[in-house]
Amino acid sequence: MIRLQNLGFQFTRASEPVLKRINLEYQSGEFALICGPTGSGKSTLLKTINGLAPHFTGGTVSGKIFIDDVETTGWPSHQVAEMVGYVNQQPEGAFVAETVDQEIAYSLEQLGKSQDFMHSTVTEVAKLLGIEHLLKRNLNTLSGGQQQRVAIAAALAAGGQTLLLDEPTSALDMSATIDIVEILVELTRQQNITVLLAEHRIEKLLEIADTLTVVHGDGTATQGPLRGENLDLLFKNHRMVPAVVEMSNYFGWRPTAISLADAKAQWLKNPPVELAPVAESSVAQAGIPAFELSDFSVDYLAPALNQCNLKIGSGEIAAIMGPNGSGKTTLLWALVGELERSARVSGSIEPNLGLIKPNERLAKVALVPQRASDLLFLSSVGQELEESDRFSKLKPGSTAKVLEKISGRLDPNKHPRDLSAGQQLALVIALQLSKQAEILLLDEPTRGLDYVAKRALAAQLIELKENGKTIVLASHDTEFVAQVAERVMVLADSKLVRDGSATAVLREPSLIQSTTAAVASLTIEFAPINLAQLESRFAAKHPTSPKPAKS
Amino acid sequence: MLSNATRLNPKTWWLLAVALIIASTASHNAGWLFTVSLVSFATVLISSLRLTGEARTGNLRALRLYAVLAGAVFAIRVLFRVVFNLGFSTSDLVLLDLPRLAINLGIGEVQLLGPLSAQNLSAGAIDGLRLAAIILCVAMANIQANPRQLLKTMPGALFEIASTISVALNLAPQLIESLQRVRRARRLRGRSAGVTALPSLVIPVLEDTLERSLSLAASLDSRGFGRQTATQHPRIARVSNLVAVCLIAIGSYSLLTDSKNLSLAWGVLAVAGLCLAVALRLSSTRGKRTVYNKDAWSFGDLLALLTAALVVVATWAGVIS
Repeated sequence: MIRLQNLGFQFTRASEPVLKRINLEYQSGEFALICGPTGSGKSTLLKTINGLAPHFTGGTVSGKIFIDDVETTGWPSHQVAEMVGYVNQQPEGAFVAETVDQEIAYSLEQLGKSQDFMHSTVTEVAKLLGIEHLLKRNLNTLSGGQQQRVAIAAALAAGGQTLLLDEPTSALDMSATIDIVEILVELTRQQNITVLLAEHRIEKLLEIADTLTVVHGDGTATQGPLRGENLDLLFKNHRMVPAVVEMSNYFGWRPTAISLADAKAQWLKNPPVELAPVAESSVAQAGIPAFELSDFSVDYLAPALNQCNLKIGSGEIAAIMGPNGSGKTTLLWALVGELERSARVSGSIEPNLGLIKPNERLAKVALVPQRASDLLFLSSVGQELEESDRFSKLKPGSTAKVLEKISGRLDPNKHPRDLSAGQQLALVIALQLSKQAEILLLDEPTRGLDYVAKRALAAQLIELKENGKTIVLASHDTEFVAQVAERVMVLADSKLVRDGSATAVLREPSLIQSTTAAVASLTIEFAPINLAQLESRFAAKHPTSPKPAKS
Repeated sequence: MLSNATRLNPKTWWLLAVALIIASTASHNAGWLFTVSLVSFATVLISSLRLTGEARTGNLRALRLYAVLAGAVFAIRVLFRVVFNLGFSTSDLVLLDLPRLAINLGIGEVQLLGPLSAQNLSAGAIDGLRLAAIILCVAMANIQANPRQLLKTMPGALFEIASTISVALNLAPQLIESLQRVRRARRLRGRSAGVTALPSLVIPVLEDTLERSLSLAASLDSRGFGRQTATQHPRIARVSNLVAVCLIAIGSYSLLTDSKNLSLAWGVLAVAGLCLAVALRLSSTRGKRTVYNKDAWSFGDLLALLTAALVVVATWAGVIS
């Protein structure tokens, strides 16, 4: 159980507090979802509970914190460790040991537990999370989902009844995400563990969580159960909402629908508009293809791409989907001709850009890798833009113009690392497109973006497409893909298993997610009916009224 | 995976290696040195082949690296003997009569090559073999005893240092990974990834490393690292630490300068060691900490240590020479 009384927090040199007068209470066994835009203070809220703020981050805390009725205000993190486990978004960066069992036992060692106690606890916790068979494995040989399970096990081992998770699934693909969410639900229901989960992408969690806390970004937070009229209050004037809620607000449904089932029920009860079935939009394959692969294979030590045959048409937005490790990234890097030297390649790829010098390649194709910030190395936005003009021998200001078209102007004096994730991405896209490449490739562009930033990116990509660019993106963000892509290719085990129009492919849950978890169907089934499509179809039917009348 | 019964304590491996190194340093017997090299090499090879998966490939890769190093050192040592040809006397058996080259460097004449004698060659080979044996002994200890596991057996007072080393061991491969990633990203911007690119590579890599280190530090903290209880007798611990350091300075000074009073110097050093042990013991009480899966001493360890002791005694007695 956690109780926060008048909690406030301010970073040392900040002019405004991140949190002010927060009063929240979480019961034992509660699954609490904490959402809010990036930078709103979700993470800080978790960190004040476990003592990392202020002891690690600097700053000052006011108010009181109670964990299991013990006042822990002002306790350093290593003292709270016994009561609260903390898991952050990148488990691989937070591991302190070499093997799974050592990692789980770490906090027990710090607490000075006996040998027998440690052995039994490690086994018990491992069993709880279904990782007994991995105990002797080396941590860096595990998949992302397995690593996150180990991180949760390690956080629970110290014996605390509370688990704080800071965006635990942001680096995972859909099936691993669902897996972790199911485990968390089980922990709350069966072990009576309190789970506080901070996320800005909540579409998969809304149905499952008991309560929702919205951190507004002005220092305040509202909390309430995830059902009933209360939802309207929580989501009122709030742009950080997933598509289902947005759709529900759009049609004025009361109470707000938070799941696909809700939405369907509401829809059937009161059909807002007669919709024609979604037409299969034909994949644009006429004209000159931007890329053509035939029997194309890439092998590292194991096959990374196996006998791929595909054409990507000029001027289309194509998405490559599939679980982590299925070959999405390899395919993108193969398209730009930048595979590692150890790769063995067979089959043909047209055009083969590997034969062109890197600086000439930029005029044809631009790739934005998963960590876009890797491409930034100067100390201000202005310097990056000028350097790009100089390097590409462009007129001064050309790259800045490209950026302006994509995202509007950015403060040239700002350090690139101080930009938000969405602005950073826009800057990198502009730098990469400064030579007017016709093809833009993006690897997991929505990682770390909140709903607002994602919507902005979608608009930017559609605008680029309308200006004639071909865009290929690798992503496991179904909702985003449904918003932008016309064509979806699905990779599984390094093979191309499906290739077709977005509306057709995204309706086949089995291809993207084999488990029958309800959360998966929410995104997959609902996503194609995104708001933009709805609105345009509605406008076509009722040209006079832009919005349906709210009852 | 070796079962615990057949796995030796990491300390045993190091003590065994030290004993063999002592014996090898004292030895001029090619047969003995060759045996030590071969046994060390074979020990790692056999036990690595019994492993599976990445542990196996990792160990074999490390062993190959050490073996190549040992071979290179041996070759260079022999080559030096041939090229510089020191210690040649006319009574030696000449194997190959190479021409003598004299090079005048202005400060004196350096002579290279010249008649190659059997004695000279064998002395070079034995020197080389000795170095190779030492390298392979270190290889055996380092590969067989996981350094992280060894660090865990450090006394509590040195826990912070041990953690730092262990964290550094974890960060090293990640640093290489992020360097590779950033280099590839740079090529995407159309730039070369050569030496001139260094400054622009350094910034993202450093940022990455810093980020990882901070995240690791936060993780260590939230996992209970750094919990302390009060040290018992903190004043005694501090004083005995200070006394130990002073005595070590005095002892080693007299050991190195005053050759007449060797026994006194050793005595001072012994007292210093005692003070240091007391200091470490007392400061170790400040963190109540345990070690998961601490390696216990087994019968195998006892046998190995007895063998090690036997080797040292034999060297002392002059049996191995």
